Amino acid sequence: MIILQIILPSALFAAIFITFHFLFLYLLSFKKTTQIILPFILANLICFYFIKDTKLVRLFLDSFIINLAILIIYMEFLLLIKTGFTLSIITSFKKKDKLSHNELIKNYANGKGAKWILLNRLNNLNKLKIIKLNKNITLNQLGNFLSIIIIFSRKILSIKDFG
Amino acid sequence: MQLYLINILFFLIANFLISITIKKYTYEKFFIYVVIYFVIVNFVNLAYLQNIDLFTFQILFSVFILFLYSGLYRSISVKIMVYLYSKKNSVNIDSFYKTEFKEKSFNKRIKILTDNGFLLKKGKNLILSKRGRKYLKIFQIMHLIYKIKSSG
Repeated sequence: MIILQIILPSALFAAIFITFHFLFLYLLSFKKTTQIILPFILANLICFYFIKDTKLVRLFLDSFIINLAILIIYMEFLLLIKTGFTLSIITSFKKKDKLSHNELIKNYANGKGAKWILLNRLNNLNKLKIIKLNKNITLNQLGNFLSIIIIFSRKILSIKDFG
Repeated sequence: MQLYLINILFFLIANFLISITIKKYTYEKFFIYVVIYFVIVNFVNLAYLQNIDLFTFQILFSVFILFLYSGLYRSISVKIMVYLYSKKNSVNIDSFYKTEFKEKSFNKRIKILTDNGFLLKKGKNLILSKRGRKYLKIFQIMHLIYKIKSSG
């Protein structure tokens, strides 16, 4: 019964959050991060406003933790459809039904090509000052530090290979 | 607090034991493990401990660990960083693209899509299977709804 009392405000939150996200997406031209964070804050405030005079208010913190999990899932879902590597291979078949291996490499990501995705990720790492980028790629001090953390995290989670 | 730490520690130990027992420990297997772990812990929790905070913590922890694993396992940026760290010296972009990226990432994904029945080989060409076309339609609708012009 208590679980239902936690899940109920979270379900309400999810509905308000996604509605607000779409409203922001279609009606306002905020930055992409703001388009998600602002609806998240607003939806939590609205949920709190509705339940503040009820018995559910003592469970709001638990509900908020579930709301955070919903936020992570939603953001990952958006990231997946925007930057998914494997997904983009499938969408490369939008214009042509049949592609040879070389054509697929050229047509990848709306004709940007497979090399584009590598350069895109490298540029992002360069902007974050993780790597030095010219004709060669070199890890910066921050990059070395982060790589150690990544390798350590992969060891902790027993990840042996790359997918 | 101790309960949460024991929970995390037990999760990691069990994960390690499973990873050395199972031959190829992929993301899909890890996903199944997380779901089973979540169900067992919450069954015990709700039947005996009835700790609601542990239940909500378990939800956030499971979601977080799944996405962390996914990032560390599949991310191209992570792969680049680990590769550069292992090489210690600077790496030429073109040679990295040819030897590491094209062969070990791009072609591997095509193989995964072919093995899972999304792509079919027809002579030298690749075509989308019925399942692949269904997913393509879903992705196109998603792109339309979320105003995404191109992915990748």
